[in-house]
Amino acid sequence: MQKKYIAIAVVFVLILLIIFANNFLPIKLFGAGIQKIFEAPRIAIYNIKTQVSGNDSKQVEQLKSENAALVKKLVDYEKTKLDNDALRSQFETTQTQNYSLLPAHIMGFAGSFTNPSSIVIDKGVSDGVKKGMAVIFQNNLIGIVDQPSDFYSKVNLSVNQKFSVIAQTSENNSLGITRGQDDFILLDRVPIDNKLSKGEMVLTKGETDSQKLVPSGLVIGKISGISKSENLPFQTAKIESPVNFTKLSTVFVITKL
Amino acid sequence: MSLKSFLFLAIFIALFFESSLISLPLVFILCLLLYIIYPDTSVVIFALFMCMILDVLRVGPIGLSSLAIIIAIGLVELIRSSMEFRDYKLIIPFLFIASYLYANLFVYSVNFLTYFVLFGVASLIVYYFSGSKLLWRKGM
Repeated sequence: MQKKYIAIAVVFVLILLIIFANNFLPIKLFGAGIQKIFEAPRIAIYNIKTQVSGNDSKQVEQLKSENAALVKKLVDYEKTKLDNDALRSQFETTQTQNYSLLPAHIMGFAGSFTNPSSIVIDKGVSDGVKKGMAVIFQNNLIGIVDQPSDFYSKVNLSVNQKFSVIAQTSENNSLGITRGQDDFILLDRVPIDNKLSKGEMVLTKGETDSQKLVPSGLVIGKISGISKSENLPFQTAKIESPVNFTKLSTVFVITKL
Repeated sequence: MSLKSFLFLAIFIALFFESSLISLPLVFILCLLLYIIYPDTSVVIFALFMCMILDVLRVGPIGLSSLAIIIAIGLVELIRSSMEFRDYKLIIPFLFIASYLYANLFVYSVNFLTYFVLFGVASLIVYYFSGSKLLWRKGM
């Protein structure tokens, strides 16, 4: 039994070493290889949600196999149509026409099924993605790239607790910081004497430093509630994003302003 | 197909679904269940490797899930040596607590009701199909 505990302790230390050596070439190569191998099946799993099964006569089986092939074609068609629609709507959005945009497919997510906190996209460092880059859909800010790896990147959505950007309201130009609160976005640190109104749009102020690449004027959401106390120096507002994150399949990374 | 091979296969399939469709720690639960039933070195190596692949696919630090699974394995060994229990009914609460903690730490869906229903159904299935067969192998 004592031997077992020693073995577990040794493995524990070895794993710790692997975690600290994440940036070394062999581990990076291992990660890159796995990501490439799993890329196609993951996209397929993400897109195909129904399966045909059962024991039937030959004719029915043939029809079912034909149906399955047609369903696959339909899925491919719908996927292409969605991609085209996303690309068209993105490039028709005049505000973002000047940015260098990198289209990316969503491959996975973290958090709950109905309210994800982060997504995994199929673009990484090899495609020019860096930490802190803004991820958009039309002129809406979806999130910020958090962990880019060789071929995939993890994007913290605007509802994620790690998400924070400097924001400005559209009508009154009140400045504040938006933070994710899991279920909604919070506009915080707005001075008490600044005016906030319900229904007002909250936009990005713009951050272009070594940490972040977020252009100004991107829509974060709409104010749905205001919390104000005269005793406190700051007021807060609840923001609702206009984008349903669960329905997105293609997003765009701003790689250059 | 033996239960061990079935679990190996299930973990491999779960890897695809967990990294793209389902926000539940299926790989962690199945790896732990596999170790509880078959505490072999091969199972530990397989579990560690699968967890590393999962970290790569979820774009997290490589080895973090493996660290969680080795801690859970250590806990299983500790409980096994101190409590001398072999009843499968005790496996379910342990898996429930371990996976719920893991889900909280590794940003999975943390709806308590979902976990409760999931483990309730799982325990009923285990009870119905295995009876007293799903015990730890004697002499561990």
